[in-house]
Amino acid sequence: MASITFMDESDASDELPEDFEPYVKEWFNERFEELTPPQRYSFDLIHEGENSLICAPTGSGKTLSAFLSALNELFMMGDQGELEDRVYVLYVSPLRALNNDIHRNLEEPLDGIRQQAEEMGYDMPEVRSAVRTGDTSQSERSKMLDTPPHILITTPETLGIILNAPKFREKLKDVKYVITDEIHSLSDNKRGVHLSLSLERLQEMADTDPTRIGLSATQAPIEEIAKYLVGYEWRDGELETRGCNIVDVAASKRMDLQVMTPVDDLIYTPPNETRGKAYEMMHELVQDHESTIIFTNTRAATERVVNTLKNKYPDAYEDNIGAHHSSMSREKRLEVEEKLKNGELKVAATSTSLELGIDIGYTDLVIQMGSPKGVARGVQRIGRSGHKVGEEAKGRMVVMDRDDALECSVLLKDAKEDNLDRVRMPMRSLDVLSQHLVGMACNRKWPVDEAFDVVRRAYNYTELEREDYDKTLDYLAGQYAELEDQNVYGKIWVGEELEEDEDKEDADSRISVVEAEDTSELVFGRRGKMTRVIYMTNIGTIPDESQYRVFLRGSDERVGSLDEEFLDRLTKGDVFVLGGSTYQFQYARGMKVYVDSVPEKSPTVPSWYSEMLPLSYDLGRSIGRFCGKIERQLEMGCSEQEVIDWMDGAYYMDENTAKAIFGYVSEQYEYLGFVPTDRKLLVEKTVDEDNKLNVVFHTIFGREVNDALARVFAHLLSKKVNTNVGMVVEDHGFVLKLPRRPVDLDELIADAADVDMRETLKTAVRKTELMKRRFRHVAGRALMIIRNYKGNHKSVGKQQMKSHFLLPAVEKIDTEFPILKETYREIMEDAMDVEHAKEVVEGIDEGDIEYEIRDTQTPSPFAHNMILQGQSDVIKMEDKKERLQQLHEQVMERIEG
Amino acid sequence: MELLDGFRVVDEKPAVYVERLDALVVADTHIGIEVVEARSGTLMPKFQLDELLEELEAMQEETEASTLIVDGDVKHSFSGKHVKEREEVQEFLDTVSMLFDTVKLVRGNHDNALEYRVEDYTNVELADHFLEEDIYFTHGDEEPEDLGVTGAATVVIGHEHPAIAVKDEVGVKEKIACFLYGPMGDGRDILVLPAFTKLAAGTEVNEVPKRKLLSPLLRSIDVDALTAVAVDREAGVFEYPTIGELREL
Repeated sequence: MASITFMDESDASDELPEDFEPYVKEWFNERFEELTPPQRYSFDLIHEGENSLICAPTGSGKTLSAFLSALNELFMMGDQGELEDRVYVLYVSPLRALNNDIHRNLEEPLDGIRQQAEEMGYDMPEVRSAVRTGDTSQSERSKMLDTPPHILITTPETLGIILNAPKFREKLKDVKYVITDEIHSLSDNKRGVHLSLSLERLQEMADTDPTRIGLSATQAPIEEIAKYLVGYEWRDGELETRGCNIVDVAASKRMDLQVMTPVDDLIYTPPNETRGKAYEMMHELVQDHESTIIFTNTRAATERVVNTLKNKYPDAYEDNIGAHHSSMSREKRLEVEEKLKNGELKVAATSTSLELGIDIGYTDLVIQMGSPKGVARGVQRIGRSGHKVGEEAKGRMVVMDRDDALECSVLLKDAKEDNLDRVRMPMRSLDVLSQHLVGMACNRKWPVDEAFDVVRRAYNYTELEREDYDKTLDYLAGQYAELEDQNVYGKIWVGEELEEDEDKEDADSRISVVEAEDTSELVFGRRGKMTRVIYMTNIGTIPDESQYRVFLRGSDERVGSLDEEFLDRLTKGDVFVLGGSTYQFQYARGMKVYVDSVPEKSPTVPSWYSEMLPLSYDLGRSIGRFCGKIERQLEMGCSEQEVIDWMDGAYYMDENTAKAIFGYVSEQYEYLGFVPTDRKLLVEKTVDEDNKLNVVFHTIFGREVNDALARVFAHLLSKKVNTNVGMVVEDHGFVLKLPRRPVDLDELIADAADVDMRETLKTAVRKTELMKRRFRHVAGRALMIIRNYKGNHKSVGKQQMKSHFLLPAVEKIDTEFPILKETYREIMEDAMDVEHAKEVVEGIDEGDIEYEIRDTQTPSPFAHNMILQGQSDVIKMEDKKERLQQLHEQVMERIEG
Repeated sequence: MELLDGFRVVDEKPAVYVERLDALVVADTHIGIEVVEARSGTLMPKFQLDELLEELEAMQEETEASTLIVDGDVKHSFSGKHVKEREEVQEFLDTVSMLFDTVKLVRGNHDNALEYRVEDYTNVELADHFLEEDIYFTHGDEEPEDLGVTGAATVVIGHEHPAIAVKDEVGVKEKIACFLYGPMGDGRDILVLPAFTKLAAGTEVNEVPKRKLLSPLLRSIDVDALTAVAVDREAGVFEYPTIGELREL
């Protein structure tokens, strides 16, 4: 039986596989002194056709680890005259830039091995590789059809298109190796879900049983990633993993880590001084190293770092510094990448775009500004340094507030001990399924039951409910529309037998898969010629992000652009930062936003909200435990110096950081006599300047869990006190804001344990902007709102407006309508973390997690950051009549009063 | 609730009953919007027509009106070419021509080719505007100088899809469709009807500057002097003060 197996030292080999072709051995041995850690396992495994997941740090010969055995095979075939014009190796990565790198990196072995073979007297044909992405021109594509590459390098989206390219897909039928690179950046999102189905479709289409190879940074839980990589197969009516060998040599990379705080008092040092010192600190670090990458958490901060360093130290930085982030133009980014590779940059600042494995040349230091919010992300970023095989990675985290000091210190400890936070993978996504079912129907007619079995082989769909699958087919067949509208709404037809007529454009048979008693005879296929075009032009899972254009009111001068998520948060009068200047929001019309310039005002809304990374649940709990440890020492009467010495010994931080953390935790302890931890929560009631009651829940479980908790609590509270409830959701807790009313919090918490968490959360998000936005994304993926149609692209604003009206219409059809169901699932499971939120509430109910309720005049130190944040969302009273009545009374009072 | 003189809001719906004409008045029904959406790649299920007819029937029963006036944008597509839309308009006319003795349709900017649908019905009239007693019904998309009518004390329009946006003490923003009524400044009164369709967006009249309003007629008068009466099918009718006062908040 196939299984997931971890490789250990006994499986390693210091030699190339014995039966590698002599010229391959010769080529390799001439170039390399020894096999790198991952290669000691991977060459043999892949040579033997074993599925393998390779987790190794950058600079460990990862590319060759994955490719060499396949190259050996291709050259051997070439030698034996068996190499045809077909694709044998399929390589998929999330980034076009990475694809280009790999293509370039393969040139050397491809040329070198061939040359070596010829020198040794072999008559060797060329082994070709080619990149195919959205950038590939029509003429290049047809060239590829005439002379297909043996190694095809592509992205998940383009693979989806290739699977439906009538001629080119034929060239993939003999594929022997499928390599997925940077798996960790795909597995936790819908691009990865999409890929998992593509690979199953490929396998179904191919005459071979390809060896699957995955390359990943360390990620947890690694066994699940392995299962994701290889998928499942049917054995005696049961699904079983195809089996995978895990080569995890990532932890072998040594890391030199430290959290650094620029000043010895983070509270009373003026913010400007702290920032100035932080830049000094960074400058010194950069000067002490050859080449540095600085990671920030936002694109704006990336720009700021570059500008500030340049202005502050004009002699040190000129052409040798660069920014790299996703809103820069492609040319600009390529330029910076080129310079990095060539060693022309002393320092590069980036947000997330340099996290992935594109070549960045030699870097000996990574600086992280603020908290990277997750252990795996921290390790990944720090791992970008120390590129030479066996070299130590070096990371410095520069923090400027006490929450960051706490997060980074715990993070580095967890990183060192290999306690990675676990990713959550989207399961049973019905929108991605819809897209693929349409793609499948475009290729051939499928028995309904057979397609279900194929879909379930993909990791993300093994537990797909038959009912959901059937409903999705019914939706795609236009089943919910009236009979005569089927042709307008349907993309597939469902019939009882294989028909001669392929398109079945005028199909009037109307069979509901949901209602059918026996599905064994049912078949589905493409309806109409438009369907293929719709599929090909709307493939992919990344939603269009709108950029609203921002104009100065009156002058119509354009000052920049905003994304929709940010716009959702703005109401008239809000002040925010855009491109370094402050503006006051006035109104939005269509895709235009009108603002006033208010240079003298300070922002009321943090501008980084929409790109803010959420703290992971696991790291959150880890922070809670850490606070508990300090609390215990305080209880035992340890002195400041003793606690600082303990931190200094056990953690990776400088003295300023230790002091900052001690100050933070001990102030909280002094204030209320205890510190909130992962096992003991603090619920704090306090009244703010606007005379509103703030209920602060100190729950250090990360924003995704807190988002779910906050909405459920806000919803229950709203029902109790009969008002709307505002909420602030943060990584370390959440705040509910409401008019001053007596509230029984014990009862509220007990209620939360009693209700069905998912159902309550569903009700709480039903009428929100979040719901509308996510519904738009899902409806777009599921081809209900077709973004590109008949040569026109729908603007995001238009898509959003459509979804606004579509949502209530769909609710009328069926509350379990696939697109609706998927929207709720995506919100609860992907955007939020309902499962862990449930665990927290159950923990409270069962007594594993205690809580204490306190009234405070001034909010406690841990609450300060939370209270300062702008409101994230509101939970409206469910009863609309009551809500509009109260609103009316309030407005009339304000006007008359 | 009564708006101006003799216009009663019917049954908490975006519709009025005019006693002296014995007429039920609605605006902007946008029939066939789903068909147009589907043609542009948004698969919107169809409910609108059924619900519209049900609501009209219920309101007819309640008011016993003999006349139905639709104040423009009866249908949605700008062309008359959609077969499905034509069928929907026909179904609409079949029903309302039986429910009411007389049906008067004001031609809105969306109502191209509507005349071909109306031909077959003896009790259905289509015109650019109607002057009934001293009330002038027009859609509201024309320039004010084209409004060369004498003898009207009140002008009734649609077109704008007016709504107000208001915030509560917690900061919750609600957008609610509304009637607007008040003096036009030239001795006449105006009544702006909310859109009857649930499937089209509205203008937040108290947030948007006057020059960004849709209706040229509304742009030409002092919209701040008009009173807003919010209406929501689920929650009821709420009398708000003038747009000017709401703007001040």
